[in-house]
Amino acid sequence: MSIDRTELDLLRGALEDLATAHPADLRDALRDFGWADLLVEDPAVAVEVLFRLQGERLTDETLLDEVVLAAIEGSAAAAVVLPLPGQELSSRYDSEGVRVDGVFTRPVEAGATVLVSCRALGGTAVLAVPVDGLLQKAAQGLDLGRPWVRVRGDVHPGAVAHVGGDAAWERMLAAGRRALAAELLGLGTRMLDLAVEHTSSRVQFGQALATFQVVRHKLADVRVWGEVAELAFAAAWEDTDPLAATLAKSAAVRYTATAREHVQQLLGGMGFSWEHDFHRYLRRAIVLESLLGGASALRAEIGTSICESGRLPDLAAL
Amino acid sequence: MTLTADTIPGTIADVREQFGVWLHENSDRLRELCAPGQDVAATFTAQRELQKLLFDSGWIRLGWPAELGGLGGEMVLRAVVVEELCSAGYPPPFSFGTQEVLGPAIARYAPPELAADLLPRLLSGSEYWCQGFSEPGAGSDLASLRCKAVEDGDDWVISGEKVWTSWAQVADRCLLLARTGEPNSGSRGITALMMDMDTPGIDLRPLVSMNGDAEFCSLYLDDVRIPRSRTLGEIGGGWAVAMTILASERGAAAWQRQTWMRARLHDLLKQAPDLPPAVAGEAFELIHALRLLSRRTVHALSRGEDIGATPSFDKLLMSTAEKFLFAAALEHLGSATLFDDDPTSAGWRNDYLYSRASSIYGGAAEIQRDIIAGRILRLPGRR
Repeated sequence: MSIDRTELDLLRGALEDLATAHPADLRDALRDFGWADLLVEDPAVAVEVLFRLQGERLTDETLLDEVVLAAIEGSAAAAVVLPLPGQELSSRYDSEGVRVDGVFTRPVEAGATVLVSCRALGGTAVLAVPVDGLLQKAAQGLDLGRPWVRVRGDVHPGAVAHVGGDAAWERMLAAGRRALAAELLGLGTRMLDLAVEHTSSRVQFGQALATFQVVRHKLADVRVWGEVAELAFAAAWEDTDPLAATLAKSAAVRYTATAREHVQQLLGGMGFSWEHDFHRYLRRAIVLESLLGGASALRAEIGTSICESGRLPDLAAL
Repeated sequence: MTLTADTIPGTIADVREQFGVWLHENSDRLRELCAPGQDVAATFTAQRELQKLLFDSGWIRLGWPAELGGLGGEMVLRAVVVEELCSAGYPPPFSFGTQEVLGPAIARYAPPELAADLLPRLLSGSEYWCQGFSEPGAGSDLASLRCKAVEDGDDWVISGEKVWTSWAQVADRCLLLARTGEPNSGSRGITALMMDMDTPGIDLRPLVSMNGDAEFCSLYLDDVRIPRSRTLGEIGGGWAVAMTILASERGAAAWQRQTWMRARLHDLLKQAPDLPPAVAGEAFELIHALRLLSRRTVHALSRGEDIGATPSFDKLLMSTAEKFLFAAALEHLGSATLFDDDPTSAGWRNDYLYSRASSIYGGAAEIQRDIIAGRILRLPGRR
């Protein structure tokens, strides 16, 4: 299916209305809307429109699990245990079973099955395990609003079902990174908008702040990385090489990290206050930047891949 | 194999495949022509030969109209040729850059008979051209240039000074910006002219840049006569010509730069086994960012679309990627790069030193940020 610009705008409008009408139960509303079908028919559009919106609106709910699960076939799992930031895989699998250590995007109901990616003998194992018996602990932490959950516990080998190996996790990871990149694009754009509005209207020394070159250049720098992140996100759908998704996430992280730094500085004291929205974007951005690979981990991964193969991949061909 | 207007490959994939075969068949000659030159004269002779070889076989005539020496087709086909040449280990010569930077402006603004006469000379390597833009008092503020052109009969009479004119000492012609309006007429009073470098009254002095090359020159112009028929575009319309040239430089030429940076990163991976993966990854990420930006620009230019201010993104990424890559090389290649005089070490050193200029030439990074702030973010300006 190929969607034209008018249809894309209509879809964007419809999802925006949905997000406005259902701030607390967006996932249910999206299910009724048929977003899951769209994800199958045109994943690029489905992910772009929804996750950008999640970023712009700082939605409490996210459909990250749905996107990651859709990357592999036939999984009936309800959620995914995301690896802890800073580690490639934070859960382990051996003959004694699974030691789960990770994060959920929301509390998972009793009786559900969840997927967990584990360090295992000979590589990565993607396993289906029952959520019962795992300890779920609300973990609001830095982010405000999204109901993150720290999940830990041991699962007996008899309760583990093998779903896939390295290849499956690679696909899940790529799908998750593309979604996070889109959400970061939304966050970055909103942060940049806040700074453009503020510096264009606030007068100091008899001039709007945005007339000062040092201010203009900081905003231009944010905008440059935004442009790069947009193109890298679009390019992540044209190549099947998972490296394209890694590059999209990495570019998006550079965008929001630059935006957090410069926008806060340009907002002055306002950007440090609780009542200004900026800190909510900063908090959400830091958490999403770190999930499924932060800046240095992503770069090391890209570097390892090109160092080991000794060649540069021909991504983004003319 | 020689291409003709009837046999040009129709698609990017066809060019890639057929040019790959040609590269293979001509590899001995190409290796000869791309061997590191001993001096500037030898390097330029080899580059002219390479340009001629690619012109005669038709490959770099792709995407230029027939009346200007081309074979027709889309410009993007030519971008594939450069990319394949570079990934086969033959770095794109300066003349390729010049053809992409100055060629489109000549095609668009020169009177048709002048364009038909001149452009094939550039494309075929029989001539090399330079551009006379910057002046001692007009660098980033190009619109304040003072080099004067006064009408006298059928000629313009030029007096003034130009600086940072790359390779003027080997150039046959110079695309010159001169003030034809009042001294304070800014960008509205500038006219673009095509000056022959053997015209009496041109005094040329090479300036040695920090990498040791005498690339940049000062031009002293003392009553130099240029026929009025050599006017490019409108009288007083030189700014539009300059903007076309800068857009081409930030756009299509950036694509060539990107293919070359990929080749250099590839060299670095082989030569610096201790390069930390995160550094290699960041270098690749930045070069890839430039690739994405310039790919978009190349396609837009190829389709004849207005690219607005977006090449400023390309130009910023070009210098960011280039500076990062060569700083990483210098840091991680070890002491040979600092102390040894073998060609490989000298090459890395040279590329590092030259990369320092990449955020200055062709519109400094600060100018690009100004353009992005004003034209893309539309921030309010000074009252």
